[in-house]
Amino acid sequence: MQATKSFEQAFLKHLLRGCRLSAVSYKSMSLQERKSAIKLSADVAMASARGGRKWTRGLITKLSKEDEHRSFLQLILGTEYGRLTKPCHGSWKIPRSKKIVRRSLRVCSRRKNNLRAPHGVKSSVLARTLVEKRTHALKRLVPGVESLDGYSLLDETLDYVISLRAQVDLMQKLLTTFEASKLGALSKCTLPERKASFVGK
Amino acid sequence: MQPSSRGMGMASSLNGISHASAAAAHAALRELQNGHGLQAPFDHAGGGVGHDDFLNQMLSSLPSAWAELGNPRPAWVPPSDDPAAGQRLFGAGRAGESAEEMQYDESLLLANRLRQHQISGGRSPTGEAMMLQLSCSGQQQMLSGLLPLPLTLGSAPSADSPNPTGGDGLYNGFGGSLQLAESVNQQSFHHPQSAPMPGQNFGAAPPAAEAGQTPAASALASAGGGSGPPRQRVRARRGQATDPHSIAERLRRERIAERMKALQELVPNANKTDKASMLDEIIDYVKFLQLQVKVLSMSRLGGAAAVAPRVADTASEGQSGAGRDGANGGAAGSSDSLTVTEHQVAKMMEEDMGSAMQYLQGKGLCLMPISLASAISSATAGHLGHGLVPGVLPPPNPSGDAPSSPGVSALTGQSTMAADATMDGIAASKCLSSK
Repeated sequence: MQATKSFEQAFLKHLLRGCRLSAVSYKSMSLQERKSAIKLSADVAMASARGGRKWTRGLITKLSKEDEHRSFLQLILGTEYGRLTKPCHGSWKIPRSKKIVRRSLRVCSRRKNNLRAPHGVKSSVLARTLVEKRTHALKRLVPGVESLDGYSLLDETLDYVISLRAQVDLMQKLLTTFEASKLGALSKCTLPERKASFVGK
Repeated sequence: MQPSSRGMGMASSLNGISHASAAAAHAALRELQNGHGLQAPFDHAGGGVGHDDFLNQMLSSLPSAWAELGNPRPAWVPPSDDPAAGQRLFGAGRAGESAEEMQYDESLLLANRLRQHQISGGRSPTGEAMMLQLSCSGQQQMLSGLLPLPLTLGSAPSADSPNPTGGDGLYNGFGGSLQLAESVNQQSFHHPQSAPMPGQNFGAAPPAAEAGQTPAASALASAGGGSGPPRQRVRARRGQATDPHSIAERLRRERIAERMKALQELVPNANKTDKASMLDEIIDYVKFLQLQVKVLSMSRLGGAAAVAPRVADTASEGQSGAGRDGANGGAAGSSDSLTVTEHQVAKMMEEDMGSAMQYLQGKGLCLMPISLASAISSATAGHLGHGLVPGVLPPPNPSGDAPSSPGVSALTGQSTMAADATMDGIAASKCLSSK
């Protein structure tokens, strides 16, 4: 499964714009600053290129938590920024009830375990706990899926993985393209030689 | 803007490109240089078409299984004209279910209505008209329910086909929802006057979805073991419970299993049948990809993106020197242990390659070319890395062993080797020995 071409184009466009906007350069920035600036541009580009998914909204919300990123986000996203960071009406209720549900589940499971301890641990309870643990870990990794469940969680994860892969792919290709051009500039070879040195087509 | 991009396209074609991306990248850099870069973020038509030429050439090599689906198509057909597309829209409203399942729900809903009409003795023409009206209004509701879906930037000017070509029925759901999300956002772009609709219909859309679900379940329950309108996939088998709860449960489990299968295709080394270990693989893969992004952003990407491509020798040397000095300064302030390791390695690779390798091996890391890391991490063959420094052999990769290979992460650093002025990327891979 691959990302669509429009996604790729939008991503590259926004990435290059973001890099220029944050004035990434070797002379004035340290490695750390450069890394965070490029990573920020790449993440924003990925989220804005993808469009309206739960994880894109969560990612942008997470990025805008830092004050210094907010101006950058506003510049890049323009009007979309206000719309995206406005808290979603539906998700307000869910976190509260989930906390209560979780607490009651914990109490129930503790009671169940106390009752069942003499009989040994039931495999279904164990299996369920394992899956729950991993679900929580996944929720920590993918932005914006806190309140989702089961199918929707897997759906968002699938989308997120596809977008991440596309992001990595495109950044690698961009990198090798730039390096090839630099190589060509340094050695002053002709265009066909430059193309020949371009590996892996 | 337009003529310049077309001129670029012609120049590129004149070069007789087989490796389109290289020349196109040069063109892209040149155009960026000319101060073309900044466009309004929502310049859909102009920006998209203007950039299409060189970006297309740049990306012409990118493998895309949906290349045929991304082909430009005539204008997006509104739902009232195309009931088939409308059905798929209806499906997309349920967040990416497969087309067949949606046809199943839709037909069940219609079948239920028809049965009600037959029971109440309604005349067939009006009943049919009502059914069509219901389906159309249902589609419209789902369409408007999709409109409030927030942004898309840079969606293709031409909408993608809502009809995924046969074959991969597995990806129908996602493909449908992805393209339909784009086409729906396209719709929102073209029809801003339909904005008031979502206000009143969005509330109606979820109840419509709920109403669609329960009559389907009850229709199944009432159909029993025999005749009735033609069913698609799910059918109550003999001896199995026909109450709506277990059927809904079964449907839910099947949908989850379908998503798991789709994820299995993506995540490498995911032949696990167990749900917990499958989730484990997914988690590791997501962590790996996030780390790759972080590492790639530390490479020479930024400087090259912002600066003109034609740099003198001295300038590039100065850049790499400044980058290294920054690395030394930045290492003190970083709290991430991995980052510290990376800085250390970058520093050590300056002086002595051997000591750098020993340091890495002491940490359980090894050095490998980017291409190998990409090949291990993903099944795609179209990797582009010339990461091999001539004369330096990568050590045998211990992370190639089966149990730990999903945990491979790629570290890209820069190195200048001895008298060699070529800039290559060298990848160090880290084996996650403990899970």
